[in-house]
Amino acid sequence: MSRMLILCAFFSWVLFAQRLPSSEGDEKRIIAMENIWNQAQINHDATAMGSMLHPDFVLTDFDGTVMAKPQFLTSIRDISNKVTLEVSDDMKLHRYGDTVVVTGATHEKGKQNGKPYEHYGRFTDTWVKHNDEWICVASHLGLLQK
Amino acid sequence: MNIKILALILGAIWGCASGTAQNKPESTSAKILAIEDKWNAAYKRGDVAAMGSLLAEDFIITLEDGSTLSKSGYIAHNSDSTLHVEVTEMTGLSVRVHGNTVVVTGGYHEKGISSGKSYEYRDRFTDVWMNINGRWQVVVSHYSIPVH
Repeated sequence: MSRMLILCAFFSWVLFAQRLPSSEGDEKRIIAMENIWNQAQINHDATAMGSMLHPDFVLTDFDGTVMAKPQFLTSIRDISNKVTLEVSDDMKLHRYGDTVVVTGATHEKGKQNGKPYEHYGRFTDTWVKHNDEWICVASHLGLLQK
Repeated sequence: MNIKILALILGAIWGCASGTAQNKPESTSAKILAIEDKWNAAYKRGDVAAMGSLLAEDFIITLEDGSTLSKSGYIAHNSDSTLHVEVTEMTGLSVRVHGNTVVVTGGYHEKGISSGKSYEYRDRFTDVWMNINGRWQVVVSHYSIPVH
């Protein structure tokens, strides 16, 4: 009987150990993609950004503008907005199967048409696993009131 | 004659199949919009039980001031007896269905009295709903005041 219990415990551990890296891997992958997102904004890299977004992606920006994927990628290409700092902080991942929601804080600095700006905000990004790849379906950014 | 009957049968099958494919996302959207209304109404009348059934256990909300609340924090926040919500209106709602996950974006207007002081918000919001064990529940919400 005790041998049976040890075997059960062993196989449970094996199953648990097999699952752990996959989940952790997904979380690391999403955090990495959040950081690639920030770099893509700084570098005006619409190709990198586009590869992470679902065709039906929707973004709600801090000024209330709602953009679909094509409009958002146009804003990424716009060189009149020079982002010099884009940092995400306090990121928390909430997993629901093949959907992961990331909440966090953001600090952005740059120049829009030569005029400097600095924003502190909170964001919520929703990622969905599609054909074994994580893609972002929605992003919402709000600024913190000064 | 046989070819005509076969064509009719194939036409009927195709009609049913395309009808099902088109109706499915629509019915999900309609269902989610109805639950958004239900949540809105529950919030307005401070119905904690109704709100509790619509929120996932891991629910997280980011509010207008940037603070984040869990399900229990949100319910406690709305149980505040000094809060009297007078107006809650959602406008320009857009629903995007991604299988088991549904994203709703839109405008939100709230007016009321909190601790004796009147307040008014005109927000943008994103709600994410998931079908959890056959029941649609909201897993995350973000409400923010547009800054120009």
